[in-house]
Amino acid sequence: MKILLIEDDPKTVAFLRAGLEPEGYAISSADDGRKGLISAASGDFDLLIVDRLLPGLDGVALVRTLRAAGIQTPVLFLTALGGIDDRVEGLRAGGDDYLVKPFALAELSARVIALTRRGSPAPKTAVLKIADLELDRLSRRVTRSGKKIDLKPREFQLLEYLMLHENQVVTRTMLLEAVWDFHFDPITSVVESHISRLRSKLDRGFGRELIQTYRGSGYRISSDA
Amino acid sequence: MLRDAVTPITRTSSFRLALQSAALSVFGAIIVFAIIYRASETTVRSALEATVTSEQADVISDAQDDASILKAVQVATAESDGTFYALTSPDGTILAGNLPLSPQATRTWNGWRTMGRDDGLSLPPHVTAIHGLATKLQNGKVLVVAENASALEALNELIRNAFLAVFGTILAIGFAGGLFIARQTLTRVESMSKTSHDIMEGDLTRRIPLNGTGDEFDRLATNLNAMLDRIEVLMENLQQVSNDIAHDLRSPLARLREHLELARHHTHEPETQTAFDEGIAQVDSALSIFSALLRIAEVEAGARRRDFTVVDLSSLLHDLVETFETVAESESMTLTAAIADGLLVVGDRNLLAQMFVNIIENSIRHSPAGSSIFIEAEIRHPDHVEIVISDNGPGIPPEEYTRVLQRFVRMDASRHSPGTGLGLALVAAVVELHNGKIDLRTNNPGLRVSILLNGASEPKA
Repeated sequence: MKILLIEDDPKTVAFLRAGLEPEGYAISSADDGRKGLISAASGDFDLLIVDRLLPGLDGVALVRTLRAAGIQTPVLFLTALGGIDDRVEGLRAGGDDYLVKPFALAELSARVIALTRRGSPAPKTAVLKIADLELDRLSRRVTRSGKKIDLKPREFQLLEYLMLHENQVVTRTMLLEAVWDFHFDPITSVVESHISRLRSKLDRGFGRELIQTYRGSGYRISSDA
Repeated sequence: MLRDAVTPITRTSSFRLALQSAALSVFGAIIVFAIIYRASETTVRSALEATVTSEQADVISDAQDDASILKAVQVATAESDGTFYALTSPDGTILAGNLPLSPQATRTWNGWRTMGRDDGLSLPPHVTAIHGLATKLQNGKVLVVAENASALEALNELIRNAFLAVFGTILAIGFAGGLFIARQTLTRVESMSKTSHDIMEGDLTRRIPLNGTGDEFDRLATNLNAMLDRIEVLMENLQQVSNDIAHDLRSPLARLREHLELARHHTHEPETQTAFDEGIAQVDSALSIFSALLRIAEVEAGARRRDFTVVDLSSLLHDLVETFETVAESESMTLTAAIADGLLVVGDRNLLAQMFVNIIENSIRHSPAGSSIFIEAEIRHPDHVEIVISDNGPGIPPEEYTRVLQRFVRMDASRHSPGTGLGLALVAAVVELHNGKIDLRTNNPGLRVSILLNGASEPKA
């Protein structure tokens, strides 16, 4: 997997390299917007990590230009600003995800995995399956070993998101953004209490736990517990 | 109706000014008329008096004794061409002449006098008043000679009518002009007020329109606009400075976090890892305070009003209720709700969600296990929506109600619970952004937070 890092701050570049290289990613970097645009335009990267504020060419303008040129490489925006408008503007320009500095390496790595795997095993079917668990995205029906499980709308969305990211660790923040549309940090156990409720509904009467907790990182659904 | 339309105009200073200038014009007209009146009256009167004096001289010079004066008066009366004569005895009886004076009038008449029909005088039809001179002769008899003074009366009346016409016209023009000028002024002032209001709503880019005449309003508007430019620059500076401070403080903390995290990655000692984790958690809590402060500043700046849309409050609250039922249950509490359907408000969905989450989490955080939280939302008055979030936890002492809505205020009892102490401050800022009202009171026991928002009638596309 090849990642292009367009970031002018060498310390951030060093941090990202230190976090991603051990995971097996090949990192290239560009320290200003114009150089970044030229490299990215080659199209042979699996992911672009783009800082919002860049010398030469602003990150949003860079991504807008790439998208206009038909280059669809996934983009993860990085920013020091946490404003509401910044996120919306970044996504509207064609960014796929957004991370506010500073971020934990676990958060970065979870999002990089989610973005780079996106598209490859994309579930074309309406029914998601993991072991004996089935989720029908159209009829919104969930069964385990053929036995129907009743989920509240939020629990269904949570399970759907986990299953769409099968075998990947998804962080608490990713879940808050995707399932709840919360772009702030709640002080109560919003994610934890829902995961625990979902677990008790999915696993009651079944031996194997499908949802695993990764301490300090997030959750993962997979058949190989 | 008309009164309602006119009252704001009549209350303007330009209307008062116009009325004052009309009053001044009337005063000037009075002076001018007084002078004209005096001049023309004197002229007419002098002419009359000259005639009277010469007629009297004729009568007196013709007669030296009683008999001849009687005769002279009779002759003069007979030959009279509009002149009135009267010769009376000392007791007021008329001896000769064509002036039917009453004895009482005769006795009191001495010197010049003007008399009309109003004074009980019967005069020929074409004569409305007389002006004449009474002279006492040596033998006690009185000779009255008078001329037709209708012209003098007519002049008086003419001047009076002319004056009233001019007076009325000036007042009418003054009043109408006052209304007109006041309306013009009001329109200009109102456009200034509207602009200022928009600016207070958070749109600092608005400016007061000029009408290009370079009048005093244009000059005022130019100066106000210059002032607004200055304020905008200052606001930008301020924002820049606060952003810089937040950025300057965030950057080293962010860097520190990166280093701690990399160091944690490189160590395999469980105890060292725990120490690093603790350090990272501390840095994160400091960073979350900066984020919360920046978020409040962003909300308070008011710029988010630009992106207000119609928000389906009922569905937003139903979603939050579903989520926090689960959270409350995990804390052994119950959360119930009564939310009316079809509640719409104009606002920012994200911020409203965060506001309600902060209030609900505040209740969950500060209430013991077994407590219950109740959320209700319904239409209040025709155009407001009231959302009440109440709990039966320990509540807040009434004297603290205003304080908890300020930044960094945490009650001593909650020092050790998580949170930045900025949750309710953000709630207050979001309520303010939406021009809503927040009210804290006791729920006997517990806290009852009521929020009043402006309702929206129908969803915008």
